Parts: sequence; structure tokens; C-alpha cells
Amino acid sequence: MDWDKTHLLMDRYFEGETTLEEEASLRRLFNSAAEIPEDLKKYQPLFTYFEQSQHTVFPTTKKPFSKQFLPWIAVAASVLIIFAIPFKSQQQTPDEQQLQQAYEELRSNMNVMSTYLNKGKKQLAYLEVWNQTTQKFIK
Amino acid sequence: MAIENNFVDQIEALRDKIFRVTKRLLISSDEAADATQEVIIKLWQLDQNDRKIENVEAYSMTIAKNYCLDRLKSKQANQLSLVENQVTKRQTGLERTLEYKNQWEWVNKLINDLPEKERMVIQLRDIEQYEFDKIAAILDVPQGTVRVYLTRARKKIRTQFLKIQQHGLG
Repeated sequence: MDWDKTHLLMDRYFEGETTLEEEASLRRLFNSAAEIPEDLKKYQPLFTYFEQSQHTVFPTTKKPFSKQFLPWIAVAASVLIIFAIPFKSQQQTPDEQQLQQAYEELRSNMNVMSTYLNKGKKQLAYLEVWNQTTQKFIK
Repeated sequence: MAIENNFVDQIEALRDKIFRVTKRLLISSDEAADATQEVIIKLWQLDQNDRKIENVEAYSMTIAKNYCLDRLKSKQANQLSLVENQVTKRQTGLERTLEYKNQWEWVNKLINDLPEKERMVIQLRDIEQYEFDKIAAILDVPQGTVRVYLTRARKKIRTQFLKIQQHGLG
């Protein structure tokens, strides 16, 4: 390796006179496994830093979970609620089924009772006629 | 449609680059990520015609730079960040270099301690590898000025490296 050349290149680098190609060659050299002389070796971190900094990427999972997904959690929750409501009303618990049964039973009993009551009421019609006729005489 | 897709790809490719540049100026990753989003929004607001321009890249760098400088300016007006700055300044001494976990962190600090313009030139030249004419366009200064900034920045860096050699760095 021609280290004199590298020394010159480094001087020109610090003077801001190197081209992009020359700077790339310096980066390659300092990032390689080459045995670098002591006086140049101190600059190695600078060029390895440049090399690794090129690969810094935009942090995609940087923001805290809750902050980034909060709107979506809200959307998911509301969708769930909207779909859950009709399901809930159709699906009955055993308690509710029993209650419904009891209600139906009560209803039919009441119906039976009301037919008997109606029958009885029909008989009352005669009483009405009797009332009217008696009133005629009693008046 | 093809142009539209092309533009999406172009912006995707620029995202990391914009992030690196904004991070160099704003230091904080969180702020840089926010700034990157802002810059991308501004790119989306470009007219159809402007989207076709060859150097959306240089344009995005200019927006990024302006956005960050605005942010820094409004930050400076903030009392709290001024106090923060003083605290960090006090820790810049060479005797503190051992605090840095590794040498890269030390180099990073070294560059971040440079004035904004020199920091920006180092970022654009040594990390993003732009030619001088592009850097000049991004920073809106003559090429000669870019070279002056770059030389000044690199010499400061060299001075720090020489100091370390004298005093030793773990």
C-alpha cells in the first residue's frame, strides 16, 4: 500500500480539495481490514462513522404504540360495537329464555281466562235486559 | 398514473436521506422524524408539473434545511431549550470524551458541535456524498462558500482528532 499517497490525500481532504471519488477511496481504505499506519489510524473512526451513518434509516417503529395506533384502535372498537349490538339482542341467555317462556305461558293462561270471562259477560246481557224491563215497571 | 407511482417511489427513496439530514440539524431523532414527515407532506403538495422536475431530491433537501433552521430559530426563543444548551455545552470538554460509549458517538458529537452550516455541509458531502454544485444549490450559497464551510469544518474536526491523540482517548 502506498501510504505516502494516502497521507497526501488526507491533507487534501482536510483542505476540502478532494473529489467525491477520492473521498470514497478514503472511506473504503479506512473501512477495509488493511493494516493502517499509526498516524493515520486515529482518523479511522471518522471514516467508519461516515460509512455507517449512510445507513441510518427513518425509524418506522419509533413512536410509542399507543400514540401511533390509537385512532385505529378507536375505529376497531367502534366497528366491533356496531356489529356486536344486533348479535347481542338476538342471542339470549338461559335466564332470558325462561323469562320468555314464562311470559308466553302467562299470556295463554290469560287468553283462556279472558274467553271464560267473555262467556260470563255474555250471560250478563240477559241481566241487562232484565234490568231494563224491571226499571220500566218500578219507575 | 405512471408518473404518480414514480413520484411515490421517489419520495420513499428520499425518506431516509431527509431523516438523516434533519437529524443532523435537529439532533433529536423524534424531532427529525416529525420534520421528515413535514418535508414529505410539502413534497406531496407539489404541483403535477413540479413533480416531474429532475431534482426533487435537491428540492427536498432545501425544504428540509429551511424547515430545520426555522425550528431551531423558534427553539432558541424558548427559554427552556437555552438552559438545555448550556448544560450540554458544559459537557463538551475533552476530559468528558470517555463518557461516550464508542468512538462513533464521539465523532457524531464532534460534528454536531459544529455551527449549523458547517454541520450541514459535512452531512451533505461526507455522508450523503453530493457534488459541490448540488450542495451550493441546496444551501443557496455560491460553490466557493460551500468549500469554505467544508474546509473550516474538516479542519476543526482534524484539530479535535489531534487533541485526542495528545491527551489520549480510551
